[in-house]
Order: sequence, then C-alpha cells, then structure tokens
Amino acid sequence: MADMTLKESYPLDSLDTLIGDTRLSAVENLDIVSIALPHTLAPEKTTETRASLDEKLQSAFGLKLTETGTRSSNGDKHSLLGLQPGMWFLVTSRRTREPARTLKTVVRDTAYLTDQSDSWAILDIAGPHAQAALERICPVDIDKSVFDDTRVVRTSMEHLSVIIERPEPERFRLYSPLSSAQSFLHAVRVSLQNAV
Amino acid sequence: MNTATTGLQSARIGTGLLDSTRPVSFQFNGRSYTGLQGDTLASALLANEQRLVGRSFKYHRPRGIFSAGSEEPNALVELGSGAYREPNTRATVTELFEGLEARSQNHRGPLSFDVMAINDHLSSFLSAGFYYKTFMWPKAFWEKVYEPVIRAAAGLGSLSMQEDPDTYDKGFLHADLLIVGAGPSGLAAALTAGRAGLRVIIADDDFLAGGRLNAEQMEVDGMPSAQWAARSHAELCSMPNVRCLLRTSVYGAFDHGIYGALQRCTDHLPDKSSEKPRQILWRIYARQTLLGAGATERSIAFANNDRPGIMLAGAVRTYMNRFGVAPGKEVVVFTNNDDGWRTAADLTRAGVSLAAIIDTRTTSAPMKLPGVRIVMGGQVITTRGRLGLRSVTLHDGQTLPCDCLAVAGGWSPNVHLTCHQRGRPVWRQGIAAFVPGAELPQGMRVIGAANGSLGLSSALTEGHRTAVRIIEASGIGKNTSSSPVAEQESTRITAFWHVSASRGRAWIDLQNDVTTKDIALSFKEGFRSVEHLKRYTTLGMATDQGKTSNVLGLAVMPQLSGKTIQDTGTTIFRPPYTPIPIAALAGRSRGKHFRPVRHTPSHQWAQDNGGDFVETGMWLRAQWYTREGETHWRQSVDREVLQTRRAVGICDVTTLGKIDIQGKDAAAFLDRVYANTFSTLAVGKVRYGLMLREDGFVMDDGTTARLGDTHFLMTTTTANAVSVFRHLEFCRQCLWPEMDVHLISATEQWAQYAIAGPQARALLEGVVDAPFDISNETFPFMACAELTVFNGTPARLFRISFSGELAYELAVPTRYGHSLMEALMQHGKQFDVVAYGTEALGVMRIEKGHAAGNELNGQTTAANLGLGRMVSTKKDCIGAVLSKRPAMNTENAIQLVGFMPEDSAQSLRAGAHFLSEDAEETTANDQGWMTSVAWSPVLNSSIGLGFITNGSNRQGERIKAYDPVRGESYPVRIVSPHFVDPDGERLRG
Repeated sequence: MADMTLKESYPLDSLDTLIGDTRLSAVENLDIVSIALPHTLAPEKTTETRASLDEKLQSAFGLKLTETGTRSSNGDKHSLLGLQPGMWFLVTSRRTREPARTLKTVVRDTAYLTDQSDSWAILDIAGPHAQAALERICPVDIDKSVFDDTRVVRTSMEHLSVIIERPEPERFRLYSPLSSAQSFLHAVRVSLQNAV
Repeated sequence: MNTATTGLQSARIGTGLLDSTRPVSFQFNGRSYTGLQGDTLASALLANEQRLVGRSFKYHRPRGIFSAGSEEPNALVELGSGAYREPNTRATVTELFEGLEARSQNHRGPLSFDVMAINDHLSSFLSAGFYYKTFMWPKAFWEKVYEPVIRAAAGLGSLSMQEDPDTYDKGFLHADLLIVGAGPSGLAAALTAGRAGLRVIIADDDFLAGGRLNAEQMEVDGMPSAQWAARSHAELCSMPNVRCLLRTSVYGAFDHGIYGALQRCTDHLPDKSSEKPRQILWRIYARQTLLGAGATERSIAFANNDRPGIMLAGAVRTYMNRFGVAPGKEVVVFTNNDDGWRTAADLTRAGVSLAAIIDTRTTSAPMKLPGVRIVMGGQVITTRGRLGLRSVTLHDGQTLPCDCLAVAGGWSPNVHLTCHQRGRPVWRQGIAAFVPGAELPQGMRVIGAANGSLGLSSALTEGHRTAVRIIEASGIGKNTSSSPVAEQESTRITAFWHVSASRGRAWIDLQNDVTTKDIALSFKEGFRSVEHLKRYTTLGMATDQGKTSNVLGLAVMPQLSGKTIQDTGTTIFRPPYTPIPIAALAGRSRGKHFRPVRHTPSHQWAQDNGGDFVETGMWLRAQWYTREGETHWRQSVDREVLQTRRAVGICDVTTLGKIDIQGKDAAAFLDRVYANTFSTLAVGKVRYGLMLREDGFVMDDGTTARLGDTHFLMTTTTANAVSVFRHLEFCRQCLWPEMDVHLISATEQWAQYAIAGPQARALLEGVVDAPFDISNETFPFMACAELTVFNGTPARLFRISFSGELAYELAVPTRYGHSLMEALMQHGKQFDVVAYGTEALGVMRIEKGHAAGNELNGQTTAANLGLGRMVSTKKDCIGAVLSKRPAMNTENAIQLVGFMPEDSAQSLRAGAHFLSEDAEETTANDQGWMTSVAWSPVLNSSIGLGFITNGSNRQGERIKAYDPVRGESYPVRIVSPHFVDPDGERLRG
C-alpha cells in the first residue's frame, strides 16, 4: 500500500480579489447534494413522500422544501435550492467526504441523492457593482425588486450553465461547471472590470 | 461671441445649448478647426462654414450636411486613424471631442476637385441597374475585369484592415417599461411612470435628452423647452427605478418584448486607450414599450436639390437653436407645410437674413414675417452652385441668391420599430405620412410624433396619458398626475412631392444617388412592387436606410402607376434601425474567448509534463506527452503505446460523459434506451451498451455500471455527452413520464483515469485501500465497485478496457483529480508507468478494433459495426423496429473490418474509398471507405478500420484503396479488425 494521501485542489485556487469596490471570491468549502423526489403518477403518493422528505430535512437542517426557482436558507450554513420540479440542491458547509452517503441516513428512501460537490465552481461576487457586472452576462432579471434572497435560477452565462442566487442584497453566488471554471471566472471578472 | 474662445467659427451666432467656455479642437481633412463642447462634428463644421463635407456615392456630386440626426445621408466621414479608423460615420451624430480627426470620403484627389466627378457627366449612362445592362459581354470579362473595377469604384469609406483594438461588451436589461426616445412624449411618459414607481428604461441615441425640445424656441410648463428637458432628465436620473441611457440606439424590436440597443460608451472620449468597452450591445426585456422615436423630415424633389447648403428645414432650426450656428448667410425656405414657417420665424428671430419663403400651397400665409418675401403657390425648380449653393430659381424664372435652402417637405413618423415583426404602417392623409399600423410588436404602444401626433402639446399629452394607462393596468392604482403643458403649434400640410416643372435630375435618395428619373425608369422597365423598386434602384439602402427618402420615393411611384400611396405601401423595415458595428455584435467573444474552454483535472499536470493539447469539443485534452529528445509526435505516441502494452499507462478519460441514473424504473428505462438488456445486469457489474436513434442507426455507445438496485452510472462518448443526456431527458419527461427515473450529469463530479497494461493490477494493488481485493477472481473483467483509495479517498473502480489491455478506470471526486494523477505516476514508477494521451488511446483502440466517433458517424447500424446481435429481440427499445428495415439488413451491407497495406511502407489514409483492384475508379464501383487509421508500433505497420461491403466474409482479399482527394491509389488487404489480442486474453487476464 502506497503511503500517500490525496490532496484537494480547485481550479479557482482560493481566488479572493477586489475589483474596484466589489469583491470576487471563490467558494471551495461546500457540500452539494442533489435531492430528487421519487416520481410517481399517483399524486397522493408523491405528496406523501414529499411531506416525509420535507419533515426529515426540516428536522435535520431546519430547511423547508421549496418550489422551483426559490430557495430556503439557514444563514450561510445550509441552503436548499429548488432547481426543477421534484429536485433540489442541498448546499451545506463541508462536513464529510461523502455527503450523499451521509445525507442518505437522513432522508432514507424519500429521495434519490447524487453528490454534486465537485461538479461546480462557485464564485461569490459582492459589492456595489455586483449587479451591474452580472447584467453583462446574466439574462435573468436580477434586480432586487424581483430577485432577492428567496430566489434561485438556473440559467446560462457566456454559453456556460450557471445557477445564481442572492444570499444578501449586494452578494450573489454563482455555480458553474467545474471544468470550465477558468472561462467562467474570466467572464465574471471581465464583467466586473467593465462595470466598475 | 468672443472669437478668441471659439476660434474662427464665423457662422456661430450664439451658444445655443453649448458650453462656450470649453473650446474643442478637431481636424477635418487635415485642417484644424475649433468647436465647442456639446457640438456635433456637423455643427462644428457648419460653425466654421465648412459646408462641403463629402462626395455622393455614384456621381461623386459635392455634398453638404443635410440633416441634424441619424437620418443623415450625405455627411458620412471617416473618423480616427490607424486601427481606430472607422468609415461611413455620420457627422450629424458624432459628438465632438478634443483631437477628433475626420476625413471626407469617396473622392480621388481633393474634396473640392474629385476626378471621379466625371461620373456626373456620364450620368446618362449610369442609370438604375446600368451595370446589369452594360457589362454583359464578353462574359469572361465579368469576373476578372468588370466586377473588380466596379467594386473598386463603389462604396464610400474604407476599412483599416487592421484588427479592431477596441473592446465591446453585451448585457441584459429588464424593465416594466422601455421608452424609446427621450423627446417630449418619451420624457413625459418616463416622468409619469418613474414617479409612479415602475421600473423604467428610457433610451435615446442623442447625447442630450430632449429630442426636438432642444431644437425649438418653445415653452413647456412655462419654461424654455430645452430647460424643461434638462430638468426632467435630471429628475429621471435621480430615480432609483429609472435607468437613463443616452448615446443609446434601440435598433430592433424582437420577439416577446425583447429589444436590441447599442450604447456608445467611449466614442465621444478623447482617450482611446481606455480598457473599458467602447460600446455595449444591450438586450432589453420589456413588459411594455413606448415608442417615442419622433419623426424625420423629408425633402421635396426638384432639380439639383442635392447641393451643399440645401438642408432640411428642421435641421436648420436645430443648428440655430441648439448649436448656435447659422447654416447660411442668406437663407431661402421652401415648404409645403406650416412647420417650414417656424424655421423662417426662428431665422428672423436669430437675425439671419431670410431671402424668401416659398410655399407650394396657394392658401394664405400662416404667419406674418415682416420684411420677408413670401411666395405662396411657389416652387423651386432648380439651383446653382457646384461646391455650394449660390442661388435658387423659382417656377416663374426668378433667381434668388442664397447660400442655404431650408426644405420642409413634411414629417414622416419613425415607425421602423413597429414594423420589425411584419407590422405594416398605414397612410394618414392629414399629415401626409405613414403612421404605425394596428399590428405592433408585443407590448408596444406608440406616442408622440412617431404616432403621427406632430404637435408639441399633443406629444406631451399622449406620452403622459399612455403612461397613465400602463400604470393603472399594472395594478399600482389610479394615477392622478397631470400632463406637462405646452402650446400646440400648427402642423398643417398639403402634400407636395415633386416639382414636375423641374428639368434635370431631382434627387430622392441622396445617399444612393437615386433620382426621380431612376424611379421612372424602374417603373418603365416593369418593376411594380416597392420591394423590387428598392432593389433595382437601391432606394432606401445603406447606412440611412432611406430615412429621408423612402416616403418621397414611394410618393413619386404612385404618380407613375396611378395607385394611391397607401396602395403602393412601404418596403419592410428590418433591424437595425441605425448601423451596428459587427464588432458590437461579436461583443467579447473574440480570439480565445470565442467560446469556453474545459480543462481536465490533470490539465496542470499535463502542462508540466510535456502535454500537447488538442481541442475535443470544448475540452482541451493531452494528445501526447513530449519527452526530452523527442522531435516528432510519432516518437511520443509510439513510446506511450509500447510502454502501455509492455508495462502500464495512465490516461485522463474524465471527458467521457457520465450520467447518474436512479429510480425504481432505472433498469427498465435503460432497457428501452439501449439496444441490449440492462435489467439483467448484476449490481457491481458493468456492461457495454449500444444506443440507437429512432431511425435504427447507432446514436452512441458506452458502458453502464450498476452501483445499486436502483442506481446506474452511464458513460457516453465525449462528443455525445450533452446530446445523450438531452435524449434521455426527453425520453424520461416526454415518452415515459410514468417511470420513476431521475437523471443528473456526473461528468464534472468525477476525475477518471484509465490504467491499462499488464502491470495495471499490480499498480492498483498499492492504490486501493484494504481490504478491497482486485484479484481477477474477485474483481473480474466488467466488475465495478465503490471503494476508497490512497488511504481514505472515496473512489469508484471499473474494470473495463478500451485499449484491449488488462485495464481499469479509476474515478475520484474531481477535487482529488490532480493529486490522483500525481500519486498514480509517483506510485507507478516501480511498474514503469507512462502517461498516454488521446493519440495513443486512438492507436490502441484501432489496434483492438473498437469503434469510436469515426465509425459511429450517424450513418452506421449495429450490423454494420458487427454488433447486430446486441439488438435484443427479447425486448423493445428505441430504434429496434426501424433497425430491422430490409434495406438496412441486406447481404451486401457494409461491415467493419481491418485493413493493412500490401506495401508496408505505405501509409493508409482515412477517407480513402475501397474498390475491387481492377475496377474503374467511379462512384458506382465504390464498396466502402476507410474510417480510422494509425501507425501501429506493435505491428510496425500502418493499420486501418473501415467499412466495406460484406466485409466479414472477405478477410484476406486484396482490394484497392482509392483516395481522389490526395491523388493516391494503393492495394490493401482486408483483415480482422482485431489486430491485437483478438481473443481478449489480455483484458480478461
């Protein structure tokens, strides 16, 4: 047996930079698990399973199942993003190497789980010019009057799939596929440079 | 005026809305001039009495400034120098800045003596469509002689032919209400909507909000109209719910309330070295839109109506009132409406000498102008002055000396955006103009002059009233605000288009040199549709898109055809309303940022270890790793292949698509999407799967592992990762919504490496954590497991082989991918490990006879690939029925086989076609084609895979490979596609 252990590395390499008055930083300490509600054409069965899942998540994380396009959060510790009918991302601070396996002990057979922690490069953009910067690449209406901390949207920016949420009035969190992290960072960084 | 401050500027009669304390130096044709802050290039040139600014497109006629806005057909100049040079820029909308350099264009020799002006004397031969009629023979001359000469003579400015040094950006904006145009109606609407709390975007292509309010001597709410505009704009800018976009042209109305707008951010700044975007192309999503784009004045057709000094009457007012410039020392006004009289009134008020006002109408004069000669029922029949207007001649033969003729032919509402989705404008006789029709783009309403409401009071009222309706419809509640108050000026008009008594050419379209004679000729030659008229004469083409000429041309045509203007109709207006640079459409998608790049987890390691990268879709993959002393890629690839087959090699295969499939019906789902059966696959096993399209042809292949009773992991080819996922989602959501199946991509989640070669197991034994056993007995070929490696890292291990060797694929969460590559290479040293790239991967798969993208090209069937028996007859699947079509299952169908050259020195070429050795090289004798070739360092020969008729029964036969593209023909022999380990002993060992 080789006496080695593997080290974590991230393509955004713990980026934390200030452009003008707005901060751009990589977020690399989150576990993300996809939660999918078992599907059935019997509505009462689906309702029953969903209620059970809801109860388990509330009990474990204090989070309520949300509708598609909305999020519930427990500060920065846990959040639940409704991304499509019957499917959510549970985003938590990193606790375990196998978050899906751990979460399975909570939700049991009320959901199918898939670890997505390594699928996404995550950027926080925070500051007075955050919204103006994102206007350059985000087709979604992110004005605070319609996009607040209860909203989440999956969209595309510069040809890349992106999930966007707004945990705070002047802070957005963006998730984009990990393999294209450098292209995504370039897109956001240029937007910010152009906007400030 | 203090001339020391303003330079010469001898035509400056006031400061208008300019900043007289800030002189601005600029150059035109190499000569230095001075203007004032707030000038356009056109107003500054006029202030300096530079009236001759260009030459016309076809006849090279001297031309001057004609308008004061984006409709300008004449004053097109080149701006900037070097790579920054930009041709065909309208001087009338070019904001003056310190150091601006402009040059006139389309002349050979000095502007005042253009040798190409000989065209003007040859005008009889240069009628509409002359080149279609003239350059017909000899036929061979067209491409080599005529076309180059015509192309060299045509066009206006020229490009720098250098890369554009500026940067451009794009963006997305959203609003409850988009207001196009910050004129009186737009400002009134924006104030009302903004104060009520709607999210408003108001855009105007000018750098000063107000539109005609800045060009008039009128009052709004008891203050000068320009002051009201400035105050209103300031209030709007202070509202957090209102975004004011000046220097922004809304150029197109698209589906679902989406508008395109170009914002010019730095064009007006002297410093061109800014890293900020020069222009931003906005896509605006608007729930409601108010089009307050105003109206454009048009001319009257009479002989020689194109001379420098002949201008639109409204433009004359603008230059006087906004820019403090007298466009001439002796002015004549020629009008068919009351608006022309307002120009006359402003001229006299400003103290500019007004020689006469000529009104085509026979009514009484609409106002008194003491000391001014008034000619009612008069017509200008021609003019004189080659480089600048010297006089006009009236219908009664009188000649009036003048250097400026202000022509007021009526106003045409700017309906263009209402037509971008096929809306057709309708004729309103009362104003002798087309107004928006009933079919408008979704959510659009039209206000003010754009709607035919030409008076100031009605424009303000209409803007306010329409905004109130929108507010109340939005649920905010009743709005009790009141409209701004202004006088309603008279806009009476009696249509008059063409001075028929004129002799000589009367211009309709100044930019394209289209005259009334061209229109008559076009009609005479049978062009009845206005669309045909446009294409034949070029009326309404180019940068101004006929803003000043369309209606005039459309009015002349009915005089020939006997139809009404309404029945004649207009051409279709399409985006863009004003020119949009191609660079702005490209935005920042230039060079390496044209599209995203995907990196594998071992990318950095590959970079550090001689990796040479190839683009596969958006991925960058190492195709080989060059070591010291290797001077040719084949050396690297041969080494990687031989070392892998001898010891062990590692290849990053993360790019393969990975789809996580869970659900109680997951197995049944896979049975339906794959040709072969997966419901019988045991947990902990992997199976090769073949996916068909509905038409029975092969769509994709890959392996699928069963990780649990209800949990599978499918792999796809790199190229088809997205399309297969999309296909599966379609099946899940649309075909079989009753199935309990959940799909999610796991491609990004796992870093995956192939570990192949006789030493693969030995290497991995030191990698997987105890007590996991990877012996052949407990972990045989096509086994899979979830385990940990390198002391606790979660991983997945699959015993599958693409190379034909004893091989595994090991996956870890991507964050460990880089480290895993390092660790495997470090630990593998003792087993003589080598990293191999996609070229070696390709060589080994060809040696093994595995099909890949070249073989799965969308035109081949399972039977063609030798996999016909994989299409299960015990179950149904997508493509099963149509794969059984007789024509796809004939005895002489093509089949995948191997090929070797008869001459070992011959290199095979993919794309070569197969024929019988003695057959004539014709399509009819074609028997198949070579799909993939490689140099096999194991066999020391070029080898190939390909399809040939009845191939599996023809092994050993000698045939001809014919390659007409490269001019090659050589003998090859048909062999088994399995060049290496045909019995699979290595991969099962």
